[in-house]
Amino acid sequence: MSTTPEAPSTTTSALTPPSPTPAPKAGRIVGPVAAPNAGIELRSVSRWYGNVVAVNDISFSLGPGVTGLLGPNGAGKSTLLHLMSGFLRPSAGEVRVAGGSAWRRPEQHRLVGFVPEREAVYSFLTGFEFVRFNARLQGLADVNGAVARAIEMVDLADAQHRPVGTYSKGMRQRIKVAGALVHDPPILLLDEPFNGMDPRQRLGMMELLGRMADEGRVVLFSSHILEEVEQVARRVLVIVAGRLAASGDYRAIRKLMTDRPHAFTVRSSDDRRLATVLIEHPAIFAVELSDGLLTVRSSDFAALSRAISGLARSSGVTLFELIPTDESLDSVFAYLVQR
Amino acid sequence: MIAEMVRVTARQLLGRRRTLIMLLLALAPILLALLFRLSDAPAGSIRGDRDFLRAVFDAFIVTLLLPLIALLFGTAAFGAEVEDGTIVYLLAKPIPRWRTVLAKLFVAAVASIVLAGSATLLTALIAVGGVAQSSGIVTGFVVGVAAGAVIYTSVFVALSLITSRALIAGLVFVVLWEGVLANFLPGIRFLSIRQYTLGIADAVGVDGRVMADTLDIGLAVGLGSAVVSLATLVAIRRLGGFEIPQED
Repeated sequence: MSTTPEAPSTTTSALTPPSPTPAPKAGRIVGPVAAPNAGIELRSVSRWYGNVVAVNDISFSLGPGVTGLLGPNGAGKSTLLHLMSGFLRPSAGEVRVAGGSAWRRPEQHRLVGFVPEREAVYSFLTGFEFVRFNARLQGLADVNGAVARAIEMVDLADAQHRPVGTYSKGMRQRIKVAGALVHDPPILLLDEPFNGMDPRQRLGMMELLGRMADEGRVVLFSSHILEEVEQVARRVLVIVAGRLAASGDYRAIRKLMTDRPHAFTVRSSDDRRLATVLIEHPAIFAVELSDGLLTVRSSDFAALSRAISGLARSSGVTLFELIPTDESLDSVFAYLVQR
Repeated sequence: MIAEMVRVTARQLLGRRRTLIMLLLALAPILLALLFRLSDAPAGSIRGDRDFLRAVFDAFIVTLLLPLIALLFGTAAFGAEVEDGTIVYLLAKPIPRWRTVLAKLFVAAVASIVLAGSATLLTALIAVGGVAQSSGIVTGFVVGVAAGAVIYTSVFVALSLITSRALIAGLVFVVLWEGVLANFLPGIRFLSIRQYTLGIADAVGVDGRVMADTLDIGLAVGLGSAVVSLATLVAIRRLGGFEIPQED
């Protein structure tokens, strides 16, 4: 199969915002993929458990490059990755990975590496034995060479002969990645790979994913942290409540997220005076002063943060504090869904 | 490839606390036999030894110890992977599911044969006080237990892929079906693994029938093989469509 590097299937402008009514299927595909056989394709995929819908009518296709699967906890990210790994049967639609259906096709695992979210590993095995287990079950010819390379790649050579049960959370994540990479798969699926990693390990993992993508691999990882996603992924799929809320270039999605109406609480030496100057600024569309609390609403976060200190200074007010009131990721996602 | 799966499964099964409990249970008939030898009641008389052995074999080993050991190993072969969350690593491999099932079945059956078989062998040897005079009956019991272990294990491996409560379902099967119904309703003797085990033990025990009224050897082996084949096919089918339990 072909794994030649290709341009990301999405251009910077190919942002596809969600629509309140179900859009035509084709409208929500991230963009044409030059070599669909090499990648991942979901066609109107749903998965439900009884009355609970975990994944709701999702379509997209992915080619080589790093893609982030972003969404709050419980949004259906794991379900989606399990569908792609052939661990779940889609209730409707079709999941195609590496040119074939993902369900009931064990052969696909020759081309796919999967890193599960659960920390569980065979705790009685050493790191080396765990990676060797994966290599042998992949039927590799040069098991020892592949194991050494994979362990080197995640920088665990020093700890490879310790039982995995004694590893830290971050080390376990890395040995899991080594196990998933040992057969050099062109497609790599990772469920919350940065969980439990310290900043240095996180950086190392991000570099590794970037390198994998540069080699022409399809890399898809899930995360509920926007900053993680934007540091590595050029493309983002945003999943909220089982639906594809947005997909496309991360910068466009980032802008969509930062340009939503923001509310800030401001504390200053003279809230009333500050309020009167702030309301005149074009980036600010509402100012509220109640119970001695000044709340400012703006749709342009960057402009507001640039303007507010100048405005305060020119009117002789001392600014004490500027706190966003709804910065939780959930509210960001909720906003994306409402759009 | 399969050897690796066998090795890791064996380590996973043997490292569990439940295995230790089974080990203690397997010591029970051996201790009973020791007590029997130390008491001077019918010591030395072949008849007395055989009566004791037959009672322990029928009432404890075949009815309780063997099915419980097979239940434990059979359900844990896949169950331990599901519980520990390691089944993803097993399923994310380009291996035909029938090979995975056979590897798991192999480990569970061998573990059951070793544990139940050695408990039987030691119990019998101690009870008869030496191999020479009663080697036939000892061989019969051990072979019967080994065959029973394979049949029971295959059923419990399949069961663990059918329900997530395989341990409870298996216990109900062992106690209600095998222990009560098949014992008191002669008509369903043909559908009892316990009866296959006794039938095989009886036929192999060359020096005279020691168990009264057992299934014919042909029937026991034929039906036993049919159960193993069917259970294995079911297990392969179930694993092919196995869905990993979701956490959210």
